[in-house]
Amino acid sequence: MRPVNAEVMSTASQTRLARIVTAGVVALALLQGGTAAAQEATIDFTVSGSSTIRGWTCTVPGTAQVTAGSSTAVRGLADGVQAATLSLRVKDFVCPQEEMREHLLEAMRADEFTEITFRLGGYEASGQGAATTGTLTILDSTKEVSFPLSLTPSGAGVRMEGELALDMTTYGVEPPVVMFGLMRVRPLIHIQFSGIITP
Amino acid sequence: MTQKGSPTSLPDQGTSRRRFFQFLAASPLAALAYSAVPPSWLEPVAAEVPTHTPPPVPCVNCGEPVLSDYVRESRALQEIPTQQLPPQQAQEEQLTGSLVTSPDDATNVWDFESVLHENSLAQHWDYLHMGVDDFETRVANREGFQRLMLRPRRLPSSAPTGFDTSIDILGQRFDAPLFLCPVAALQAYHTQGEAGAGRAARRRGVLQLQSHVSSNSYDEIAEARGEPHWFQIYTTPDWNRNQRLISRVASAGCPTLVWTIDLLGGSNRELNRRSLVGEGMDFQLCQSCHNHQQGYQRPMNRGLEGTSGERPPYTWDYVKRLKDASDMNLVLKGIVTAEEAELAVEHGADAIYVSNHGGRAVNSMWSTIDALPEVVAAVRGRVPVMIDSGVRRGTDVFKAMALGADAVGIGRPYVWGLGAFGEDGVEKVIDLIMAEFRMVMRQTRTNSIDEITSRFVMEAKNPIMMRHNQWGFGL
Repeated sequence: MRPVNAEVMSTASQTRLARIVTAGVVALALLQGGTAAAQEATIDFTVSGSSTIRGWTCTVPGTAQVTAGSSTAVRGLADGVQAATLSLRVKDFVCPQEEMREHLLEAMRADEFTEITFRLGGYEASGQGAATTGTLTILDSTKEVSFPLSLTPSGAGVRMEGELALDMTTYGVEPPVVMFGLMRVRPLIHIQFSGIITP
Repeated sequence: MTQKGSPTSLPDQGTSRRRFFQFLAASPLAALAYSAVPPSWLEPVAAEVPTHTPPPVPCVNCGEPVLSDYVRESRALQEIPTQQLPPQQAQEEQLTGSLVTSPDDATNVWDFESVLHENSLAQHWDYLHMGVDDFETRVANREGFQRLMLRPRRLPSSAPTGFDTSIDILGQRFDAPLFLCPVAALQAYHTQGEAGAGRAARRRGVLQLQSHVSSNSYDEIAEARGEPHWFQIYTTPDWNRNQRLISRVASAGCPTLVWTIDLLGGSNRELNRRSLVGEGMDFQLCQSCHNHQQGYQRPMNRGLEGTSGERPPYTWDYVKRLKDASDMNLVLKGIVTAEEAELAVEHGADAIYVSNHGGRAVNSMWSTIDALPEVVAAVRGRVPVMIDSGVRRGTDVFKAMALGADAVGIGRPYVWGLGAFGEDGVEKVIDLIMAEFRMVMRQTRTNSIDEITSRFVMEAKNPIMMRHNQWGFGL
């Protein structure tokens, strides 16, 4: 049954929606006027670990979205960094063997959680770059991480390099087990990344 | 009526109640029902909770307690945190290596040995660790280096003008006198294989020798390394097959061919045989690093099929045959006597490689560092002399250079690094050995390779202290 005052309510909703949209557009315009646009760069990630059989390394290309300006200066970025996000698509992983890649995608539940993302929370300038903190999201788990970032001027941009070690089980990733346990991947992995960003 | 306190007497109500509370306090199952316990019971139950003081330790002769209350309590309640373990822990790790989680944490090359052991399939570990028969040659290699002592100079006569560890060998310049020996099937230890080792070697400016039975092909390694490297060959009786392989690596840009002549008669690899029980077949997982699987061939043996050729005997004439097969330099690997060093030079070898295959070819061999002086004397500077087998420290490199080597190879140590942490591990192994080497150079007031002469070493008169432990680590 349709409410008696449905037409009146609908008109009020439309008015409220129009106000919200207008306010949003104005806010976005103001924001755009005050910040630089994010620059995207390709970053190469290397993930290494070990197992009961041998050491292993897989690689994956990713992206860095960096918004420069209005912050503490660091090496190669005189205006500092407002925001930065590193991300990679899980299905882009390349491993030495296809079978190994399949195990990795299964462990990472690649169909369900398609990306791994690091969002910069803050940083302090250091001699070779910055000491960074932020959040790392793997599967549906987001945790605070911190690691040193090396920044080296390179041509028109800045080479950004970093690495961190983590226990994949703390993010809910179950290390692959193959051949009834003959081969077990160990939970500790090292992630290294490198790429040139252009502020 | 029974008497109170007699074995058959019934307990009074107070005693029964207390025993019930004692039962509740002691029972983990009853603890599950604590939420249902009447509030008035909680206090008496708490009063019956036993303290965790263990019973006294009785004297075996008299039955009296022999430990004080303090000691008993500390044993029962305190666990010693790892960081407060007594110094013996550090001593043990220094002798056997520790399980580091990052290459940066490694103190010496044996730290990587422990990690590789932890990371490897037992059969893979056995293959690398193995020495023939009773490991006598492996032990001799280390003893040989340890018998040599340093004779440093403390103050120079004039201020040094520079510090240089670079070498020139067969027309190539490298930043360090170190090189990576040919070791088989490196993907058994890390998926990066020889390509990963090659990247590390290039970054550190050291020479790399690829094994004939490598996991990666010549082209894959050269691409990873960014420049051609040397190739080690195990010849087969069929000359045509050898020729095809030689042509392949030569056309790929390889400047130097290294012929291994210390395994032509076979080797008694007992540990290897024990670990490959049954038919010697591999696990399914190993198909990428072994050639026992049906149809599998190592990369450098693929595509060599064709018409069979002559089957010339392995004599000194074979050296000329190999030399004439390409424009590459030819190095003979496995020379350990003055007589054969002389013959090798006479027959056209471009360099002599003093090696006993890391103790993996023949038992009861003398160490390579013992053999080096007579080889150098026989060569008389006509061609470069290389050495490997048992090199673990910068001091070993220094001693070999002092006795006339032009380049010094490491085998197991860089594979330990690779298996532990991939190419970063290899890089760190090179860094550690070179840091030790540079320190010895500074301590002996030698500022370039040419200044390192035999005047800086002498043979020890005292017994040798070997690293030793139950697993045989540390060789």
